[in-house]
Amino acid sequence: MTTQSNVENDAKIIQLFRSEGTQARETAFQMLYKPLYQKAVGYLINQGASKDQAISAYHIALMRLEQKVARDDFELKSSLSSFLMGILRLVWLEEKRKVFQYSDIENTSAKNLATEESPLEESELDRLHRLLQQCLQQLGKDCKRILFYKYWLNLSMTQIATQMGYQGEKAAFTAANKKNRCMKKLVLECSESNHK
Amino acid sequence: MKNIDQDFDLIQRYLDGALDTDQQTTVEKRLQKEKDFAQLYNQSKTAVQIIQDDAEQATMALLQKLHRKEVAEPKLRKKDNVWRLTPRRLISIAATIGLVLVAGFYLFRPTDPSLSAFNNYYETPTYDLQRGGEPSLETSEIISAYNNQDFETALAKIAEYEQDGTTNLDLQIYKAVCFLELGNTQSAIDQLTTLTQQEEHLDEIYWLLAMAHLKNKDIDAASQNLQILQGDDFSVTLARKLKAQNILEELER
Repeated sequence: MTTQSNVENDAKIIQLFRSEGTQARETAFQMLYKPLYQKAVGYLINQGASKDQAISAYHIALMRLEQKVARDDFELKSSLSSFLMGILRLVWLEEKRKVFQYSDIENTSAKNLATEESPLEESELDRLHRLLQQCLQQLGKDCKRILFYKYWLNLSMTQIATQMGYQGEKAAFTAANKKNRCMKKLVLECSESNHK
Repeated sequence: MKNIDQDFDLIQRYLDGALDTDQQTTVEKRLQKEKDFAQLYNQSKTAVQIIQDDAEQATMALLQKLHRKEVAEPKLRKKDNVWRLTPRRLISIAATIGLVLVAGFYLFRPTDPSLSAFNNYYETPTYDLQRGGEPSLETSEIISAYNNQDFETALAKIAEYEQDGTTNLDLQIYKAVCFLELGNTQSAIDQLTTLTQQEEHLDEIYWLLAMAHLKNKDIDAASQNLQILQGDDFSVTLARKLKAQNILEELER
């Protein structure tokens, strides 16, 4: 049963997830974390998960919940608790499937594995990963934020513009331009500095 | 440079799903044909992946921190409360008290006064060559075994010696000592009681009889023999009289 106070609490959490700043985000997670911990972890343990697996799945579910509710086009149709439990069930199914797939991979013969990417290609990819990770850390605060909103929370450009505090008719366009400039900084300038 | 910028913007729009179907097809064709274009695309795609990985790691770290703060550490703090009486701790405390009581009772248990007196005053008498006279070949073997505290052999040799009916009072006394030393207290008492009919060495016989009764925890019989030693019926050394008196006082307490 959803009480008035629960509805208000859910609305507050959603609002915090949609607010600007890491503090609001942390508070939102904190408001959810402990009250739902026993229910979520207990449910997964009853489903056959170990405690560590249950905690890990709970964290993934919370992460997915943030990605859903942070978007301003998201509309909560039940309670956040029920919504999270729904995500949790999906996460647990995915995790179980991963274990299943992993055991399939383990059973694949070494001969088949040898036909995968060559060590040289793998090493090139690793190098690119490392380089981009370094460049990402060197980006300015605004760039990091805008890329986080776009590629992690998958927010619309209009919402990103609001989050970034851009105003006016072309706010979304400005946000898109800013995002592209940040990506260019990350991808092109990073590669150039590497080639020097 | 201009081409790279244009290509980059095109790839961004492609990755963001902002192109129409025709534009998408064009990009996909170029990805197959143009190596540099494909490389730029791969770099952009990898960058998106890196951004997502970084965000995921940061979020996971935040949730781990919350887990420690909200769930794990409060439990640890609860465990750290050393003064809290849990059922397990109560059982441990009760077991410790029980163990201390048992150990205390064992260490400070009342000891038997007769055994205590026996342990304090009894000394194995040495064979008195002067009193026993010049030993024969047979008696010298008995003396040797006795003085080596091999009481079993001494008893066996005495029995051999007495086979033909030959004996003497000294051997009879030392036979009783052998019984006493070997823990055959009742035989020692019987032997010494018989010897009280003799006229010599009565001080030693009554003393050993008193000791045998003490070992047998018969305080009354021991006291009776100790009191005889205090009388004037036969000659008793002063030292032995004093010992007898001390034991009697200890037994009375």
